[in-house]
Amino acid sequence: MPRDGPGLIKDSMSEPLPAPRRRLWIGLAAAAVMLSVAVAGYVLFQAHQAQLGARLLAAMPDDVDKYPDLVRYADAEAKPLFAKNCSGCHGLNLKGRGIGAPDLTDSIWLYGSGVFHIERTITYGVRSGQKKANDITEMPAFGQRGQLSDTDIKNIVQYLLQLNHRPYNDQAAFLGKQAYETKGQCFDCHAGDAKGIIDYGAPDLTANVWDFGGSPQDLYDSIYYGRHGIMPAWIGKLTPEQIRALAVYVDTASKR
Amino acid sequence: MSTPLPNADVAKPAAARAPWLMRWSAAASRRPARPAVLAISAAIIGLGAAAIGLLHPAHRDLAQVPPGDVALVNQEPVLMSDFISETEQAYGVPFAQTSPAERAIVLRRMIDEELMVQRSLALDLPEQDTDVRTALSDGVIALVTAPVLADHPTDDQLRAFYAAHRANYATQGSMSVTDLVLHIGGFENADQSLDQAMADAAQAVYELRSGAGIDFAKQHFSFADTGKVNGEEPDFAARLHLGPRLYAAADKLSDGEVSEPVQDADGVHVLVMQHRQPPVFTDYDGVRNNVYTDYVAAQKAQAKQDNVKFLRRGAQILVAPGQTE
Repeated sequence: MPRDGPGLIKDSMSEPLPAPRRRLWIGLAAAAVMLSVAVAGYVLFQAHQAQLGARLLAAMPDDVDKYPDLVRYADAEAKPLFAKNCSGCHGLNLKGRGIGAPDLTDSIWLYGSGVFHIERTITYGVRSGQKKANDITEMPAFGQRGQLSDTDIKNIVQYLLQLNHRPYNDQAAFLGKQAYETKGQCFDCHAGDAKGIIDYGAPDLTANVWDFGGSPQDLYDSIYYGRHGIMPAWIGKLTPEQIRALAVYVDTASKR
Repeated sequence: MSTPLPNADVAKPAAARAPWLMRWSAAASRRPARPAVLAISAAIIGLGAAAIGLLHPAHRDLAQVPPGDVALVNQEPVLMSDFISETEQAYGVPFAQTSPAERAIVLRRMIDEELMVQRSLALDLPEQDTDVRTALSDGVIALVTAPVLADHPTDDQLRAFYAAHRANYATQGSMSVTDLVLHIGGFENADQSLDQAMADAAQAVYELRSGAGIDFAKQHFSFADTGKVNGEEPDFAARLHLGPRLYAAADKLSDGEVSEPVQDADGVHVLVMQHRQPPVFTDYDGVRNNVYTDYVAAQKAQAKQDNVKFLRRGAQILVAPGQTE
């Protein structure tokens, strides 16, 4: 430390600062360095995330599950997106809310399983008005349109109960099967064995999984009023990467 | 010339021989502001650079296809998802089972299509080609009307719709009716007043209902036969020829009946129904399917109208002087 003494000129610039002020300056400098390190770390983290996002998009949709880091990344990205955009209909737990939005955690898919098909559905929606949407057919309002009588519908409900191994009326179920195969032409979309046709988005009627409720009254209403479930198209609202992440998230949830 | 000291360190202050941190500390004590300012400046520059890197969007590499796309045509991406879907549709098998040659065919077609679309925009076809305009308009309508069917109509809604549009669910009726008129107020050179014409028409109606012939009414009250309905006409034609007010009066008449005097733009009319084949209305249960279809169509039309209203609210529309829309 410089000292005053004989022959030395005292320079105000070389006057040491009081200790508290010196500590302040050193502290500020150290804080700035730490902040720089933190920002640099954040930038590096973001770059890593961007790289994961690019890899997620570049991968073939149905191959993503071969890369655990991509699945983890997609899950983390998609969870808040799902909560914000999808949970209103499908619920935060992905199990649907009983209003026509299906349970996404089971293995039943109206328009095909796997990341690719799920991604297509998210991108273009269901009956969304988009030309590429899943929109081949819908459940007609057989009762309201007068195509099936009240008795016909009740009989078909009994047939559905029989198909799902639930208590049913034997005679009514027999007549319901006839209506299913003739007057109602239900087989046209749901297939002769009632296991549904994915190309049409017509559900399997033997799995005892019902998007609009499975009570006899719910089944009656579905046939009487018809069903016209819709899902909006998310193309243009979410980025391709976000849509891919959501597809992976939902696909993963259905396989747990 | 000075001779260097044998040991230069001896001449240095003690601080100069100390480790770098000590030297820096000593320097900081002598000139406390400079190192701190330098360090903070460096930190600020670093933060600024990092912020620019974070906030400034990365430039798209024009020579590379972005992940998630299968091609880039004049910087317009072709989605890999669409490519997979179209390939599967083209060959009816999963994408993984298609050959590279098959994929190439599909990709070429998609790129060609994208080029054509871009060309159509360059040629301003949306403004010039009626088919393109119709397709674009239809596309918008499809989007805005898609949610209409999500909530199925109730039976009450359908029955109310049926009641309001009952005439749409009836067979076409027909009528043969004579339309007599007393012109007023200078029409066809008539000089009688409305009150006078109404009084004469009322008297004529009485006479006609009492068995007088049409010729008598023409001669005695100076009625003119408009000839608007020529022989037996279907209802839609009679409505067209008579106009809404006279048709409404005629629609209530049966064979041989005479209407009350009806004031219209050209004078006071009296209608004499020669023959009426009324429409046959179908009850609700007989036309449920049609009612449902029409209801949905009406809902879609309403949704379209609402959308147009919305667009109009946000649009600047200027109409040339003297023109109305």
